[in-house]
Amino acid sequence: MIRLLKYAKKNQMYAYLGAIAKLLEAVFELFLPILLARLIDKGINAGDTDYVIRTGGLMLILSVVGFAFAMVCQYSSSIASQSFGTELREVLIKKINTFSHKEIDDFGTSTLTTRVTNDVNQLQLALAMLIRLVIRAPFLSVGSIIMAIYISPRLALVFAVLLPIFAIILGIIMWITVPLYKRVQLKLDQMAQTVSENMSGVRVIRSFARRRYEAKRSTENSEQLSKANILVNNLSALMTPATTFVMNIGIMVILYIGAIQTNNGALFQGEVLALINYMNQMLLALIVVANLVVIFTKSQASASRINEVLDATVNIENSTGTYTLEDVQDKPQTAIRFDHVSFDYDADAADALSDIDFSVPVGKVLGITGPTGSGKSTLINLIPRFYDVTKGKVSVYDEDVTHFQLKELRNLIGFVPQRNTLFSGTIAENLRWGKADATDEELYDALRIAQMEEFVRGMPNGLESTVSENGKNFSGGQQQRLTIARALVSKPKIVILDDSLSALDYETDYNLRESLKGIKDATVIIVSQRISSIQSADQILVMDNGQLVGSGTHEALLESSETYKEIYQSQTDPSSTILEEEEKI
Amino acid sequence: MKKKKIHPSDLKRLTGYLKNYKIIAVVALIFGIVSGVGTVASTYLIGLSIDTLVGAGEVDFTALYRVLIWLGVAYLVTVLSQWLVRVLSNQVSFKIVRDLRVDTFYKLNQLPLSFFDRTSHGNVVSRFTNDLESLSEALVLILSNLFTGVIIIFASLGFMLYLSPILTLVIVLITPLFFLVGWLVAKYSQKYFTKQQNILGNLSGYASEMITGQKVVKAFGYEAEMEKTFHGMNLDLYNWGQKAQFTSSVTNPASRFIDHVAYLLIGVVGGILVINGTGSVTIGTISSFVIYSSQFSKPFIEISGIMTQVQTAVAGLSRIFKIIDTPVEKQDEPDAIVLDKPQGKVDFKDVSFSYDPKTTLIEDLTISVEPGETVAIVGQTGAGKSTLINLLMRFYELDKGTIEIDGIDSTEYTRDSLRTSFGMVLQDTWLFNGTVKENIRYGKPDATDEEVIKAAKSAYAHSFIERLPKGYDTKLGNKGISLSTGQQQLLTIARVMLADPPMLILDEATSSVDTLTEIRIQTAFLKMMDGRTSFVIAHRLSTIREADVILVMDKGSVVEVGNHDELMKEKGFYYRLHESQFK
Repeated sequence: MIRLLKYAKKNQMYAYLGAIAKLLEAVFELFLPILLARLIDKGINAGDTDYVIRTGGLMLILSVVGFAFAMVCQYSSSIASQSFGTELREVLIKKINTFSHKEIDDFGTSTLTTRVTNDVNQLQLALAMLIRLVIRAPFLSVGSIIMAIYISPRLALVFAVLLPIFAIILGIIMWITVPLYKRVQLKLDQMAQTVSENMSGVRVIRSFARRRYEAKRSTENSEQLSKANILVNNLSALMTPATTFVMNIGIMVILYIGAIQTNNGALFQGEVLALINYMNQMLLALIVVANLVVIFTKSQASASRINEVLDATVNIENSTGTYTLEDVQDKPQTAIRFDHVSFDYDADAADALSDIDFSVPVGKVLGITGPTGSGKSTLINLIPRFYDVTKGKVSVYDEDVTHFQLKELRNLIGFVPQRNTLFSGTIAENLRWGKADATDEELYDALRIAQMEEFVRGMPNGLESTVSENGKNFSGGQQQRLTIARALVSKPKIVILDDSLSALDYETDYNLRESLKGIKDATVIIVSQRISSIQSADQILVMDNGQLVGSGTHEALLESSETYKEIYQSQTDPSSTILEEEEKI
Repeated sequence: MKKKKIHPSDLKRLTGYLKNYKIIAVVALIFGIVSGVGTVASTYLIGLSIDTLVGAGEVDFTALYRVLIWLGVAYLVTVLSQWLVRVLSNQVSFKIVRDLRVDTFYKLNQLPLSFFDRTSHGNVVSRFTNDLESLSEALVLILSNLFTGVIIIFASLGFMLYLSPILTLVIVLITPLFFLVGWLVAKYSQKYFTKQQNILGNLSGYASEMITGQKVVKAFGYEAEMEKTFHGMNLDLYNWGQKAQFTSSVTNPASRFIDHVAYLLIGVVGGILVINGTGSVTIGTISSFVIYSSQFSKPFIEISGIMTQVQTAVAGLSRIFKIIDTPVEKQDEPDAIVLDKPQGKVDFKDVSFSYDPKTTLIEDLTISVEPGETVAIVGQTGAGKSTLINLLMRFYELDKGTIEIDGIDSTEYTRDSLRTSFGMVLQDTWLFNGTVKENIRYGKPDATDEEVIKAAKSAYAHSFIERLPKGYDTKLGNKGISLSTGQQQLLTIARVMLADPPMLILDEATSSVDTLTEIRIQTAFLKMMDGRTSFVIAHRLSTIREADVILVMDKGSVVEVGNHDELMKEKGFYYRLHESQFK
């Protein structure tokens, strides 16, 4: 949490102002009991009505000023804490933007969103609290002691003895309860997970008749949660009674000694009353400190989740690369080359790719096929550096990909991912992702290649037609063609289609591939399980278990690769043709 | 901060839950009263003791000692009862909430599938967590503060009246100001809060969309643009959030200010009364009165402080009861038959069904399937193929007609035995957070490791499982490894293979698996389907061709029935669908 405070810098003036204003309010508050003591001792005892009213007036002024300072504090702390949260969200989003696919996969997208929103909110609240209380509470306790010394140095000793006792009690309780609070959170998370799983898996759960088991699981979970809650709350409920008890003893001591001193004429009645009030104030301030610590520990969980994101080492470093397209354009011999590339997602896991070696000349079409999990997607993800190789080298235009500026490299490549990801907005907005200043004509050019032009022109709003989140208002095939068009708007040198033709019928698939060939100098990589989509490629790679098990043209592979032949036969046997393809269009 | 009308019936039902802990609650109440009385008594005793300190040489020590002893006793009793009240309230509150959780979950498990298909999952999760947690917090606060607070208010009021009716009047006149401040602040801050909530919702939505689409954001170098949009929303959020936070934070200083004014008024008014000798007010009276008045106002400040929490809790409570009140699936008849090792004869007789009464979906459907037959269901998306399965599994109830298994109406069987008779593999895979082994074993919890591995092998999942970091003990889900859709599908297939059910339902079971693996699994499936009645929704013609019966569905009704050769001869819908692939 402390580390994150640096993001509050921008408006740190407000933070300090808030804390100081709160402190000043406390100062004025401290004067009230002593003024009341004066009012009693000098005003009432002396029968001086004027003095009483004057002192009352002074107290009113102090209260008003104190209130004004309190408002200044609330205002400043709202600015400081909200801008802290704003800054933190900004920093987080920027950091997430530097993540490679690996970090995004490791975290998971839903938790990243939660961290940007909920966790930041938690910290925002904690900071507001901190500003309000961090100076005030300790000050009130120390201030109470100082005032006590001022009234009676000897009686102030009681305060000095009690303060550490308070601190120890609070410390012990906190030390015990903080880990227990974390346990409660853990149990709560488990509860959420159980419910969530029961919602999404309802059909499976009922088909296996596991309702009773699930109910048992959740009952146990509820039981544990309630036990954890009761335990931690019982312990933390000790705080007030324990401290109050100690304080009460203090009050009794003050009354006793105060009585002796009053009898000796060293103290006045009103002063004893004031001492008791200060004692109360000190206790309240200390309880606030304790609560502050609780809030802090609770926000600690959020803070560490945010720190996890900020601390994540990003695998892809952009700093080294300086090359742009101009630097390499003169020597366009090979568009893509893999030099004995190996890759694993996790040092502990087996290689996802091992010793892949091939190259693609400029302007050619490369097909990649292989069974589920054979490493096809992994392979092409290495080209735009969504991941970096573990061993070997990937080159684009004869230059190591790590030598490029990351943005330049990715601009060079039109990438169509496996999952159709469209964003809410309009068709034009989605298409302009690759090139913000593309004209409508350029958009239609891309749509034409993607076999989507007629469709879009046929829509009442054309390019301005609305796209809902995830493109749900379009069919799978239409989504696929839109994502392909999006990748083509910037006229990339290398087009990569990661299984992006699967929802198209054969005819559209064919037309699309033909028009891709029409793009001048463009190198095209098509990943597909469907042999017909890659059959006509200049070169085909066959992957299995992370290894390159075959390479060559369709005809050559039919001769040389057993795997390829098997895949081919599984699809060409008329009895196994995909019947429902039509409906997906 | 949304104001929710409090439904008295909800609170009444909550007291129903309280009944189980009646005794603890009553004991808590008694201790609450004790603690309230103790608090006020100690204050009274402090006043008495101060009164003994009249001045130099005039202190009545005997009286002081007596008072101090009583004070000690009062303190001890107060402190102990304070803690006991908290402990008992914790017991009652958290146990009530536990019971509510268990009941709600039990209810959730009985709800018809239509509830799950229509309700946002995140929403329900939030009821189990956020809503119930805020309820337990509010319950603790109410139980531990309410009685003590009420006692303190009345006792302080009594003492104050006894000490000085005039000063009491001053305090009583000031008290409503606390509520006025609370009301004003709530009124103004609500507007800002609503605005803030809306923007926060938009920002979350945007962040979630962009983070989910990160891979595309990367591929297009769209980071800067996205940061710009986010920045705009973020600034907006700052503007309204700051206003909301500020306005709502006024309550605290304002209440304190009112408290201070009350404090000084007692001094001034009391002082004048003492000097003028009116109302038999002494200095001791003022001292005690200061303490009583702050004791008197404290519960008011606290109550206005927890009002929002209580409101939130009540709103949450009514959402919880809404789940509990949703009508459940029709319960099994007491004399329901347990379906055991069915032969597998399935008859649809004049079945009609629709999700929405306005649009008919399935009408007067009659099919007869002999034991061991394979039924392929063919048709376009939305033709009602999955609906047929929903009905077969009794996930939804028929509007008309019957489905008979082995000649007996399926509603006469227990639901569980009916459902476990079918092994179901769906297009949407479901794996829970647990190990690979636990997931495969879900349908047959007592399966041995050997059986699990055997099932995984027949589903062609064994080789990729072996390559996972911890093999069969690899954790899936959050904090675990994420599998490709194809791999997930293989695991769910292994799960059904292990359960070895007498009948099968395969709904696009291999849609995300590559053709090669699919062909391999197919062999395993065929072996399994041999001798078992199977319903298969598939797009592969080989499966369809070998089916004994093909149901061609269109717009909710079965338009053609027959085997492949018959249907081809008919030159109807199926023929056209088939031909469109070979032109």
